Amino acid sequence: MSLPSLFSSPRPTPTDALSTPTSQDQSSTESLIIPLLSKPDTLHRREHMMWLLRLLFRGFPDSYSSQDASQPWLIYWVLQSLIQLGGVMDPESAKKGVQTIMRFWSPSGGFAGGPYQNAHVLPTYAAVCALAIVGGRPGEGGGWDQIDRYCRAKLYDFFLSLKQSDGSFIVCENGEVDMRGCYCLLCVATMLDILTLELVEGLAEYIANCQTYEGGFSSACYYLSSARGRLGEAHGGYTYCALASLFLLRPLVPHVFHLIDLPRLVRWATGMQGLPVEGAGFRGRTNKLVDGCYSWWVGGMEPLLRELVREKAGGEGEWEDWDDAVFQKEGIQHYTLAIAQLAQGGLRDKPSKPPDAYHTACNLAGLATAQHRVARSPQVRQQMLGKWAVARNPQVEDREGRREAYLASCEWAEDEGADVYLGGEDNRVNAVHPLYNLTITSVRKMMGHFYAQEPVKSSVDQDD
Amino acid sequence: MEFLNPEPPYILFKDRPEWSDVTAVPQDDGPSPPLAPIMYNDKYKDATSYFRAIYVSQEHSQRVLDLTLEIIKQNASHYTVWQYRYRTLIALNSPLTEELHLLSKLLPTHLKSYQAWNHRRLLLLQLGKKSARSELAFAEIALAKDAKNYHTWVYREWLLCNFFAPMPFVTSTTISPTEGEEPTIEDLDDEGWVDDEVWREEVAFTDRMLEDDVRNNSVWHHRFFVLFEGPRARPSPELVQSEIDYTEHKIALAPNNASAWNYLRGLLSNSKTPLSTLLPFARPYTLPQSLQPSLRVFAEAEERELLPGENAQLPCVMALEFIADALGEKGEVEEANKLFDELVERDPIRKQFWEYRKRTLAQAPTAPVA
Repeated sequence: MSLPSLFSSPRPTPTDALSTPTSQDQSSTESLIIPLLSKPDTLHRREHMMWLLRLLFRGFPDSYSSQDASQPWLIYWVLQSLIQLGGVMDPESAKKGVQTIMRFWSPSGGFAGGPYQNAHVLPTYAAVCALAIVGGRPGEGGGWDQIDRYCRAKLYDFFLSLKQSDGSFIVCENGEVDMRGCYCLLCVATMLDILTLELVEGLAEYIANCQTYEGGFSSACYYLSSARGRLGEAHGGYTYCALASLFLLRPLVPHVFHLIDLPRLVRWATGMQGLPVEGAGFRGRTNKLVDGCYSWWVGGMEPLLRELVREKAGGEGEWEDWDDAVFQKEGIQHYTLAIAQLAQGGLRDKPSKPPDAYHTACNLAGLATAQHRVARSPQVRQQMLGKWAVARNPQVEDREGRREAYLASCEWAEDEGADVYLGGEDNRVNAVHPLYNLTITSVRKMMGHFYAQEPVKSSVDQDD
Repeated sequence: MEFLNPEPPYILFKDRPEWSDVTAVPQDDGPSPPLAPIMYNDKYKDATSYFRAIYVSQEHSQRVLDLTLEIIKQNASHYTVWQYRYRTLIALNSPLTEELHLLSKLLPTHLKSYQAWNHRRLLLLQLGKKSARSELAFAEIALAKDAKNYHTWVYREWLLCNFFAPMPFVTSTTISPTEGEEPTIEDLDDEGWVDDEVWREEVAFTDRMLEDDVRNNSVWHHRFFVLFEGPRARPSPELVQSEIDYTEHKIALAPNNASAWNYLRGLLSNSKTPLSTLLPFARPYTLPQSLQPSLRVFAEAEERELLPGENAQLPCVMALEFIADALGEKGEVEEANKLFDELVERDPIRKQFWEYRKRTLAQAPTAPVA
């Protein structure tokens, strides 16, 4: 069925003539979406860039005071959105970016939400991702060099101090355990080459234990004497974090994917995509409302799920003949362009909500995943393997899984010719790495630095 | 009647005599203007400048409690302020029940704050089981305000695990838990291992919540958590059967409800019951509305009572999927494929998924039920 016919005269979600709070919220959301369904699919690239640049250079309005403890996130969301839209950082702004981000470093080890705040795993992830974008310039002012010199060892100790006996991590001293923290910690440990068996012991089992009967993952679980209590229902954000974490753990724990129920996960994830009457966007939980941020948290799992489905089916072969996308990818693009996008710049959760930096970054990442086809490339892996140089410090033997950790992140590549741009090629945004929400180039360059490897150029390096 | 008792005017900390001995520390963004700064208002700037001052001096005093409370009211996600407040409470040996009451007033306007809920959890770990029971009531009040609030459900489920369940076993890791973090169940008193009554009441609680909204997935998850994951989880055949009956009735009420179907699948799979057991139940939901009257006649003849409600919008996608899976499970691949083809028509957004199901069926035509 062609896309326009999907969205012309869509049927409302059936309510079986039983009205409850859920169906009432659902129906008011549908009435906000329906008038926008016929909007043309044109990306307002210029307006978004202007909107983002204003935030970057003039700053965020007072209403963002609630993000005072998330300052690295604000920078990361803006920078990553700009890069995806095709922006290029000038050296002066990049330098400023590094200076700003390094002020979030906490002397006790770890990045904080802002100056004079305590270290916390989430802003640590955001700061490191922001540095992946702007930190590459070598020398004293270079972000990566500063991390090398001052931060890596302390970060490792910080991470270890957060480890719990069940394998999970708290997000900060006296903080909560949840899947976001586990994911952010694994991303940073992998990118900066401080991933060890000691650090991740028990984590794969803990994460797998968070899979609920629906198939998605909960925020946390509680080990009871006879069972596991899943704390919270299956949720898009936690499920992305869990699935990406398992990919990041696989180099050290090869059997991770035997610990989860893949068909159930695929069923739950595909079930999160909304009906045409909802603009085909994603919801984050069963019977909740669609929200543009889940275009990334759920939609962004597409390459990961596709990979696992393929592996389970025995890898190559006849599968190549199928359109093996897991989601309706053009539908996701339509939600981003017609429903979540504002003509004056910025992207949002849904109509009636104002645009913000978080939803802009997530919507664009979801759009990118829906436009491109990114997969693990055996060719790239082979190339990197051939060039593998042992250790940054020749006296130190390679840690177990170190090379595999590098390969498992850097082998993801864009499948050229398999991209589909709803509304035309003018809408193209740069592809994202399915494990980090950074461009593939950013990940390869930064990991090349920290693993002391010569990065393999991706053949479609339009993103820098 | 607020005008009779107006809020006293807000006084900036720089104008408060009790803070006159402290030199405020403004946010230091470094030598050049930072990227992506926040344009804080004066009130917030003032309070956080005094917080930075005590953050440096490491003061833990009553006035620090006033200051941190004020910042939390303005920005409930400032985790450092929460951490500092908690440390101060402990340092001052403050009555934590009072803090709990204060938090009860604050939380309803900050239900989405990870930090506020975590603070509450820290307090409970200190206060122990004697305070835990009234916490279930507090969570219920919070749910009345937002019935799907994720944090509230997580908190409720944590309470149940931490205070009303047997001791967790420690997994095989050599790393010791962070001090004061991992629940120790020091409160396991002579009441015994499991508070049966508390867990029974949880089931009744989900009954009430589903009466209000049969589509609230958080409630369905909670029910599964209580009955199949909690310490009272005894997936006896009787329990499984009564849950099947319960869910079938909820489905009859509103068949297009993914939460109920997912729960049904969950409990079947948990008890290793084949989906095909429920083929007679699910079939009517795959037939169009026009056939329902004649179906009713047959059902009456067979003395089967549970049928789709008269207003049900049928056929329903979840039922088609259920039957397709049940047939696939029995190895009736051709029949299953027909249904997957119908699903492609009826639910084109998931076309790729239905095609994938067909392919997996073709690969494992007679896969036994797990």
